Amino acid sequence: MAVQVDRKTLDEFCPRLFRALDNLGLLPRQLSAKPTEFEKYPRLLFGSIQRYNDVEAGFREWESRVLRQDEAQYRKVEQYPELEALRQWMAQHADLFTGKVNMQHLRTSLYARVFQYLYPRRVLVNAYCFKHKSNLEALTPEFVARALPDSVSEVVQKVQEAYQAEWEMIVADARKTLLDNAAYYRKVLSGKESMETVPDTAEESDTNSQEDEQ
Amino acid sequence: MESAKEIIQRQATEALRALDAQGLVPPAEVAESVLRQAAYWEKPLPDGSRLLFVRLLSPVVMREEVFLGNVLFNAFLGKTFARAIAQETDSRAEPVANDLENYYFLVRTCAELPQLAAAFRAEVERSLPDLFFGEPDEARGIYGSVETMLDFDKANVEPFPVFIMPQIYAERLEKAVRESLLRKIEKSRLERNPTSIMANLAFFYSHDGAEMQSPYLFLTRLALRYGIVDAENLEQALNLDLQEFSGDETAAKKATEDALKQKNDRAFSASVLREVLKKAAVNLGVKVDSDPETWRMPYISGKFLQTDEQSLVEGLLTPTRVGYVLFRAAPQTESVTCRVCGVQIAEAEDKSILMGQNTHKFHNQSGKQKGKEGPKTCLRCATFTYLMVKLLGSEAVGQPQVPKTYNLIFHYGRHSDAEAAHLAQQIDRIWDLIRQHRTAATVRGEVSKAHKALAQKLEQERDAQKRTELRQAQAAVAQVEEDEYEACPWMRDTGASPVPSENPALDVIGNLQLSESKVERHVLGLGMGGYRMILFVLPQIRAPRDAKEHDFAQSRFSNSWVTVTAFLSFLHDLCSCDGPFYYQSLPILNAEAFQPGMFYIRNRPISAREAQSRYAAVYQLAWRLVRQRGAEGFVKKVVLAEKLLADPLGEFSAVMRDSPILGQREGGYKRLKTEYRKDWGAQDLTEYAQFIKQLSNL
Repeated sequence: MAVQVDRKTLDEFCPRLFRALDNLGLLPRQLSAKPTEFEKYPRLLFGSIQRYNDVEAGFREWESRVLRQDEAQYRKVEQYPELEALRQWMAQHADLFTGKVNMQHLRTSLYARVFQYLYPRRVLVNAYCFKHKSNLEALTPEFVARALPDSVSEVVQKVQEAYQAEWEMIVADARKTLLDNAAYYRKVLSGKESMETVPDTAEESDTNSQEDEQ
Repeated sequence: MESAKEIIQRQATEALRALDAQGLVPPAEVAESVLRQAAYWEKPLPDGSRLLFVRLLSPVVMREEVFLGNVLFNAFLGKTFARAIAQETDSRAEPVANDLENYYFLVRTCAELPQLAAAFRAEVERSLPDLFFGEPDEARGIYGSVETMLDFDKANVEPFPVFIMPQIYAERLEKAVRESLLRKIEKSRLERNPTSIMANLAFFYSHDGAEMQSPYLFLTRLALRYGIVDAENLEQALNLDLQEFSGDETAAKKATEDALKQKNDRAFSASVLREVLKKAAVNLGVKVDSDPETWRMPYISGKFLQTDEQSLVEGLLTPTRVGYVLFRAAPQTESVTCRVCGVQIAEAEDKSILMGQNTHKFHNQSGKQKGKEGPKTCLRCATFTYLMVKLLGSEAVGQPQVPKTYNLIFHYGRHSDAEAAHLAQQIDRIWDLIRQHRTAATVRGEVSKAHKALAQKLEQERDAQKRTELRQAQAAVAQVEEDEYEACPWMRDTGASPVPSENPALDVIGNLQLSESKVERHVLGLGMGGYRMILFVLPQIRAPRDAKEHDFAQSRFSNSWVTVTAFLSFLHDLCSCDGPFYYQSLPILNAEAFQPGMFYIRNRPISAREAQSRYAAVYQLAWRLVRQRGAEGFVKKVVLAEKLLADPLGEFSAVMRDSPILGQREGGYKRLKTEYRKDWGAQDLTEYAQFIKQLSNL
């Protein structure tokens, strides 16, 4: 039997949190990051809330910590309203975060949730950068609004089909990521920054040796 | 599919027509009587006779040790009742419907019900030897054969339950054993030591414990002491020297044993040995016929029951009711009652061949018995176990011989006998294909490994040869997969993997302890408006090699709602009808427990469509993520599926953390189908995203 958690509300909460973190530049830019890098700041938030057993106090401690991060320095003023909106939402749903079952579920399911949020956004941004390699003009707001996602729609069709319902939101987030992090993506487009490290593409080792044939 | 009431109503119409009673009783009334489990009613007919509605009730004992045997026995009773009525003057019976413990009939007769019940009892008594020793005859409710029961290799561990049958059956048993033995000798290729045939001979025909303990001594004595076989022929069969066999008995027995075991560079001649063994069985039969006192199962004859046939029939029919007639109420007793049904007095000894792995284990009656010795089971439950062994055979688990265990799946479907047989053959064929796939995949793996190693060494010449071998192996695998798609065309449509280790249903079949007999399937009872109850008897899931418990894999399978659902979905697709399936559930004829397109798992209903849409993601995922194959891998997949069901996103996060994706280069789980997309600058992990979406909707 499935664990009885308030999944509907948690499903609403997670994208809010991830979007706030992503806008602060606190989620990995590359998908080849380790699981701990994806989960770091959400886990800190859950830990703070549990330590105080109070959403308000926990959030405040976490907020002061994340806003001191280097990545957040350049946009903390701009992003603060979103962070504040998140705090208010969490305060309204305080019961959700002081319930042991919900918090346990959040902790265990965090990696899948953050992957689900970040994967289409990063793929879309990467595909865009690949397509417009060497074209620094591609990071102007007008160009982004015009060319994303149309210029890569064929390339990312598979992802679009998988995320049909929320595609418009994903595109909007991807545009924002490109423009907010224009300095970084300018390096990517000019080839000074590697877009992604190529993982080990070797086939998985043959599993026959692990067979238990009887 | 129609409702249960409509089906029964249609069957009632046909039954009334067959009894020339149409228009006299509304079929709807008959259907309602069935659905509310009415025991009896009667209506006068214009010609002075009466139309009876009769329920034959034989309660089913819901214990694994006897359940299947009880179901088979009830099928026998159902057939016997119809036959018994037909033999009465001016009486006719037509079946209307049945489940496993209720058989409903419409009877046109002038006789009173007690008279019909007496006729039924007499027919049971007359047919009982056929039930015990007869060859399969579904029309009479007789299943299995004595030959199946002779599949034991050791004679000294009580491999055959003669102690549950009355002495009067000894003659019939010996004849059935002899016929089966002759068939077995004829069929055997005798390439290796014929331990089973030797054990059968020694068990049934030995004169003392020494002969029973050592079949080699018994064979030697058959030649040297009893003159049943010619000593020279035996020497020739075993390739022995003359002096070896003319010396003392111990030396001759040692020579026989070495020759049959092919030890010390000895070998035997299969063709001559076959003749010798056949002659032994035939000549023993002649001796039995001429001098039964000395030769009819001399050493075990004392084990037969001292009760007579009537008492046995009385015990077997104790809780049975025909209409309002109860044959015999359960006795009120201070004695120890049966450890299985808890109703009748325990009369059968606690032997492994009856109670399987639970023999000598603690049970509630143990406290009343001072020692472990003494009867533990009633004759009715013992007979049920006997019927199970007759159908499925037994196996040696360590030293003791125990009944084979099984998975029972009931299915109501609109299938003819031929279609039911075809269904079972399909499962057999899929099992064959899975074995072929496994072999081909192993070859492919080995060649691929060798190919890689050679490529590294740059041995171009042999490398090319290996490449050809690899291509051939890959083609063999692809061919088997194509054959699987041909046998199960829906798998292609649903995108199910043809690789057995990645497909839960195929993995279940691949891990069944199937033997030569493969899938046992039986059509029980009768048609209901074209619907028949089909019983699939599948062997249990084999345990991993190093498992301590014999049911290590089986118990996990049967407790896993998801895996059972996957397998029932597969059967549902295979038979392509919308009849209900029952696993660890009793098919009962009432409106709730007979719904089309439903699976009943441990009496909990779930619609087949919902099961497929709800759980497909879980079991497909689990079967694609676990690396290991075979029984051990099967258990890991079942456990993962259950964990995914309990906490879908939580468990999938754990799986992702332990998979070679994103930032991890290695992990305990297999990677789903991924490729590196240069134009994305990332691995294509869309399948993970799709699974997460499906899991979050659970």
